[in-house]
Amino acid sequence: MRKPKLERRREDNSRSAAYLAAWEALAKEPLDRKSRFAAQTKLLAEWANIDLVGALDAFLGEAWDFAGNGFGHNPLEKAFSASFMDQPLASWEALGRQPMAKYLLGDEWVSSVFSKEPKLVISMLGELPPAAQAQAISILANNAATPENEELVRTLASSGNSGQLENWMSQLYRQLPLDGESSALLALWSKMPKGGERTRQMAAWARSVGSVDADQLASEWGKISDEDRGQAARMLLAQINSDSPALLEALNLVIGEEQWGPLAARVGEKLHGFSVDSDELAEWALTLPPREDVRGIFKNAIAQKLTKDPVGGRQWLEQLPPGDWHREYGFVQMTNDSLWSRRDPAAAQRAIDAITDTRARQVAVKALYDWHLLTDKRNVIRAEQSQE
Amino acid sequence: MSKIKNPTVAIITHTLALAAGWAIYEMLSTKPDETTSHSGNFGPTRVTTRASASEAGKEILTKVLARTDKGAEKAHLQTDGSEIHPDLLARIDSIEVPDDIHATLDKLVAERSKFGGENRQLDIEIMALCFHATIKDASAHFKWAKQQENQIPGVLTATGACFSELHKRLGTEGIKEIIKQNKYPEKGPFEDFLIKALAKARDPIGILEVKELMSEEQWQANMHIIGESWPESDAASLIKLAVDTDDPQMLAAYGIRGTRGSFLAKLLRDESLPEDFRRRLGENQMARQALTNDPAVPLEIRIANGGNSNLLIVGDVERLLDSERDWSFAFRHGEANALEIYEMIVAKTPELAAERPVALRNQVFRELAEENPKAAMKMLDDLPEHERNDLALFTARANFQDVDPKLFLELLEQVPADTPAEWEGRLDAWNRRSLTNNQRLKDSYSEWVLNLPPGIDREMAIYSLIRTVGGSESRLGAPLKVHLSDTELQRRLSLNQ
Repeated sequence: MRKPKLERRREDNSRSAAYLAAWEALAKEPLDRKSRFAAQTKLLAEWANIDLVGALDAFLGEAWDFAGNGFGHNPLEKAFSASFMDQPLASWEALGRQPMAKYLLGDEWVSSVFSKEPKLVISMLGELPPAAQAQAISILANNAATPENEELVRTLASSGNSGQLENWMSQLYRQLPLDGESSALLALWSKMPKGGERTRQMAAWARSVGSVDADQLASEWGKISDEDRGQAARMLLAQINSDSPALLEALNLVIGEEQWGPLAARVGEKLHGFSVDSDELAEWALTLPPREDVRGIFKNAIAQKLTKDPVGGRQWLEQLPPGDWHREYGFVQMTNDSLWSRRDPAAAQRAIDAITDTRARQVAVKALYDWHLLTDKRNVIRAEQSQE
Repeated sequence: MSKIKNPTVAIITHTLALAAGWAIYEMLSTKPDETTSHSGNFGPTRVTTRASASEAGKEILTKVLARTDKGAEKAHLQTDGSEIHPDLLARIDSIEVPDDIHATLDKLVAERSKFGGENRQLDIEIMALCFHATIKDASAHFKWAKQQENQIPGVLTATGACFSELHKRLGTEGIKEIIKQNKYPEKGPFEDFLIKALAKARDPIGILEVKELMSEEQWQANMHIIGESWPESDAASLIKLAVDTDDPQMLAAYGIRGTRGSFLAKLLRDESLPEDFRRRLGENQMARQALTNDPAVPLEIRIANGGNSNLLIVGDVERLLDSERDWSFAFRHGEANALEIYEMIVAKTPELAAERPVALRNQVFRELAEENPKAAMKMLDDLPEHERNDLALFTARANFQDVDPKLFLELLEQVPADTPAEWEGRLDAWNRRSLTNNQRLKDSYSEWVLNLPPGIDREMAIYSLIRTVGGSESRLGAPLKVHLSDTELQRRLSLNQ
């Protein structure tokens, strides 16, 4: 028969106290790192079954150990897998008591709980940190196309607000194989009522546009109502990439719809590897509106030209009118190119000296400082020490 | 693993479920002192409770360490063929083997592919059936596995996980026969594991027989497995095998990591070995790396094989901090002090300690400062104040990339910000760490920054965070600005934004 609550509570508390004592005693053991991790993992896993909060607190004291370097995973994370699976909601709440815990263990929570209660993870997606959301969507995308998985995608389509839905569906379809012909998919979503399923099919259409040429995209675009063009532009932007023959056409359409927020979010990287002559791309870059939102696209569009021929690139910039936005930020890009492609801070300074706009100059100066900040290696002994 | 009995229950409004979960955890999470307070008897009961917890804790730890030492309890199923997990072994013996094993495997693999994460139950079922399929008809099994190669888990990996048990039951000759059944040019799951098992058993004849079943490319790839697996107590027989097969690279991976260099340095001087053999051994990249990495190898040889003293210092300190025991962990918890750790490292790197004493001391400080900044500062007690502050600031700027922000702050708190150089150095440290901490910890880092106590560090933390998020996450940057009150930092912000 189950013991009375208070007696159970006292028993669990004293067991948790015992685990805390064991955890503290472990520090006195002369173990190597591998053995220490193994023992800690075992302790945490057992402790988490009795007192998850206590175990999490202990973990956070050691949460910054990694088996490797950089943004790796702490081997101790796996200790919580069983507890997360067995008590997903309570464990999520426990993670919430320590803000950093959600970010440190969110991925493990998603992986563990998804394997047992995928619907729960999908229903909670909006609460998860961005990296954990992305992981859940990836798991969904990597699952086989079964009725159960389709049910999960339908659940996803009925979750979140409109912005989240666009983001999730875009991410999901970016990872799915191409399936369907773009004009048929356009016709399909155009007829659907507004909502999650429509957004989903719009994501599928946007995915399919990756294989069409500029003329076909323009033709399909003509069939989209004015009311739908804003959302269609955002979905298109989320899917289009450097493999898309119609990439520049797509960017022009999105700019035409003035979707400045999405355009500012690392869209320029889509131009990496785009198969087009670098001079042609640079000339296209001069047609971009002089706005901060598209500066990332601009700099990526001229990057290859400047890298390939720094002298010719400088001359090309110098023929633009002084004070012209494209000229000023062209020299900002030249600053970055000098640093990251050629590791030449002197050339970077010469580029900075050509900038006349105050704001652009500040951006370039900051770029030079940040380059120093990011490229100093952790393990470098200071110069003065090397002369001992 | 329980299944969801009623999907509707599983998808109850999570707000209600969270409330229920919260209630459960409030009940379970009461700290021991609160329990004793319920008893109404603080003195003796409290002492008894703590004493009981301590004794119980020792007992728990003893059992955990015993299991860890024996390696008997593994959290995960092994897939390197070395040992079979008891759960898998039990299932191999208990599973009812169907007539059409691969039809059953097809269903299980399809079921398994629904799960992105682990699914221990299905993994064990699949592995157990792969075991029986291999015994029944290895050729048919390899043919089936080839068709399944994109499924989760990799079915060849699942088959390989059973190697140790197959080897035990069928012997080396039996495994060799199975290897011969693989009609595909790609390597099967057993060749490496068999080589490893034969190396552990010091069986050069067996190894050479398996060599006949491999391509030259596979054989070359297995050199390091032979060296790594050969028992440390019998270098002589490995050296003989390497010389007989004229494969010096077999020796490059032999011995305990970190001390291989000493072994190789001796071999390179051993004139009883063929000169060409020694030359090729000395040119082997793995051997050169081993020579560089061993602190016991003469410094001159380490540098001749590609090391430079800066990198040697960094590498030696890192390796020695996990030699014999995890010294960083011990220091973090106050079980070892900085001086004894430093002296241990000096004793094991005498040449570097003699040639580069300051650099070595500084590197040890930089590593230990990430564990316990205040305690690490004691290493610098003998330095003039400005040198002490300079090194602490340099460490704050160069280290702490993936370390608890609280420890980074603790280090900075050991350093004044009285001079312009110290002020700028401190700001640089904050700029660097906010960049990486924000990438990793997102909103939780912002929350931590805003909860810092008033003072120069809070100001610099806010400034550096605005500087990091201002452009790409302006919705966060805007509210942060109102918290910045340092006039110089406000001025700099107005220039940058």
